Amino acid sequence: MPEWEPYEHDLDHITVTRFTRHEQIQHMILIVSFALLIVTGLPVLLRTGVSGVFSLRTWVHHLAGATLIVLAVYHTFWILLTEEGRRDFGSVLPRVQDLRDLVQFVKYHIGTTDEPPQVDKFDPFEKFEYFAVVWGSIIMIVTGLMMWFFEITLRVFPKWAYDLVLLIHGYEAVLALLAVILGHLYNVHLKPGVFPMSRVWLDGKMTLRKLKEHHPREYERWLKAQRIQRAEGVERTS
Amino acid sequence: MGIFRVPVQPLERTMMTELFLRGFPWRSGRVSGQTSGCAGTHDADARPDRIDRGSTARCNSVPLPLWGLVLGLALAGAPSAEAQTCLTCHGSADFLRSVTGDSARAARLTVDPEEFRSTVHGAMGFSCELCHAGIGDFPHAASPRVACGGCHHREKEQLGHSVHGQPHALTGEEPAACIDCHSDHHIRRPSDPQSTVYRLTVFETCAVCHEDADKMRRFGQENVHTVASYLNSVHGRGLIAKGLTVAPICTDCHGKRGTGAHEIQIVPDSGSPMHREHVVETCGRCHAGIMAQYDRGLHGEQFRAGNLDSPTCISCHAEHGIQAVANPASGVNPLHISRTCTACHDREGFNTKYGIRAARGNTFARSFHGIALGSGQLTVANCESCHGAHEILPSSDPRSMIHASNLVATCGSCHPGIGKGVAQGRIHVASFEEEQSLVGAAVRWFYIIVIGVTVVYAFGLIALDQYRYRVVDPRRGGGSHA
Repeated sequence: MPEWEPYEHDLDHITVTRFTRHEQIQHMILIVSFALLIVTGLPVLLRTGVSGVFSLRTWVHHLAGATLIVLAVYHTFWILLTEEGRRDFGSVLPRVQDLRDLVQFVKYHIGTTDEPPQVDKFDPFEKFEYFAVVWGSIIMIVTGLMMWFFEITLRVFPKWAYDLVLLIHGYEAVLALLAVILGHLYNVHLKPGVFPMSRVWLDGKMTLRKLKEHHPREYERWLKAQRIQRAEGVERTS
Repeated sequence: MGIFRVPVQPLERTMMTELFLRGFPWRSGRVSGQTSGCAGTHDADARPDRIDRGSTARCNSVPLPLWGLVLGLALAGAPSAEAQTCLTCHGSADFLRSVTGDSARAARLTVDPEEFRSTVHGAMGFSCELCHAGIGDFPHAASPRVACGGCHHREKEQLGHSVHGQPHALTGEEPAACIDCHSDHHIRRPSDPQSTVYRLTVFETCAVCHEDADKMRRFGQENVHTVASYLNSVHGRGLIAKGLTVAPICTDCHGKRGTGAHEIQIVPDSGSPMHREHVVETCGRCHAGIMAQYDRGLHGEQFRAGNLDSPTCISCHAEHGIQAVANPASGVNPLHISRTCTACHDREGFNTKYGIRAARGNTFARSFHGIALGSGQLTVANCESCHGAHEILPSSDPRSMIHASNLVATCGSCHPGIGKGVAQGRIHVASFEEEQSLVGAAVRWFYIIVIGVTVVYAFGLIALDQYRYRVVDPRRGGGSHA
């Protein structure tokens, strides 16, 4: 009996769940809080202020910051306590295979090979992006809280150290903004074949064709699971 | 004393008998410009209403022995008969107009006996000739001048020291005479609300000349908005809107203490209370507590030491247009105070001269306080919040609000519970290079490199993707991941 394979024309119709509801909500909260933080924070960094509504700006910035903190805590517990969290966090952790994928990625793109990298659920760039967000969030939350409650901070730290906190908060914000604009905006919006927007973030679904193209290992795993399921189904009916 | 000459023969003459005796001017065919008759007497140059310049009218300066005479005259009622004679002509504006052909001049020459009796001079029964000495019978002698200084010696002497008593060096034009401020026949005590020099309305009298652009230009004074800007100031509004007699009026600041309005001098004159040497004391007459604070501060200390760089009251608060701090038009309003302070404290060479760090304004504007203030958030700290307003002291002085030992209290006035770490480091942070903070510079360079690498990395990936899409495999859309 030949191994089960989806029909070619079904590749565009069958979708797999790439992100669960949990992950979609986390992503949306991140979008909103990040956008609010940039909009209300950047004017101060650029020394322009927001005429007439400065204290509202501060209030919104704090609210959005608090939202990001809640999200970070939620995300941490989601990783620790849920099975899908543990599974996805496991698959985003860096591996040696990522280095091989990276080399293959470059080769494939400059045209020295026609074999795309054998990416699993997350490619090396997605992993890097995830940890960049984690790292950036930790920096921004810690420095942000120090700025929010600077009276207390100054009980522990001298003013010159506090000046460093301000400096770091500002530069890290620029770094995050540039990473999002240059990296994420291209990959999920402007890239040929994705433009105008990848719809994965809206429903978490990805077509089998995209999965097969961009995440072959993930596709293989899905196929294997399907075959086992089918084989069990055959066993039950026979 | 000629002015006290009582008419020997007070004649009761009617207007018509007067005219009959002198000849009717209209019979000659010309009403004015003639050398005989009424018109000759009332020719344009002869102005019997002109009062001698160089004195003013204040009764309290009439020498004591004269008072007996004054009272005697009043009781005897002698002048009334004489006054009646003068009023034959001078009591009727219509008549004077018909004679002079000039209604403005006629109005000037007209005296309302009722009104005159209510003035300070009229109430004492002064005869016309008491002031208009030597005016003589009709036709009058040529322009006898009224010498207020004959009685008002002290005022005459004071006015001699005033800019108002000095004819212009080139044109000989006289700035202001007694009647210009006190009026001619309407002189009342300054405490009388109807007086032209009554506290609440004297600015109108000053404005007659000081808002007159042509006249002021002739005397070399270009600013003709002093009264208007005063009226819009906190002082002017106190006077007008609040009706406060304690609000300062023109002469309170410009007149010498004790002699009031009569010894006004130009500000560059060292005798002026508004001269740099005296302006602090002048403001301090009312704002004594503030002056004491100022004297305790560095600005006051330097001012007393004769340092011309040191600001006085008007350096920060403006002059005529002084406003309350809460008024956005004030130079020391939170919105503008940093510009007012940095007018000196960011001036080229100023900060190096006094060993102050540069860029005080810029470092404030770039601070969180400065940005918030620039956005109209008035509750944040401005220069004054931390440095004080009048008692400003250098941070090295233990009494200073920004001395390290006082910073927790100073910052804590807005930020209760702030830690003592606020005293360990600078507030006006210019740049880490300037502050010689190695760690700060290191952090900055670290981020510049990381951000640079990120940008190169991101553009590198975009370039790789575009290369594959356009060059290697143009048929296929899409990159490798989504």
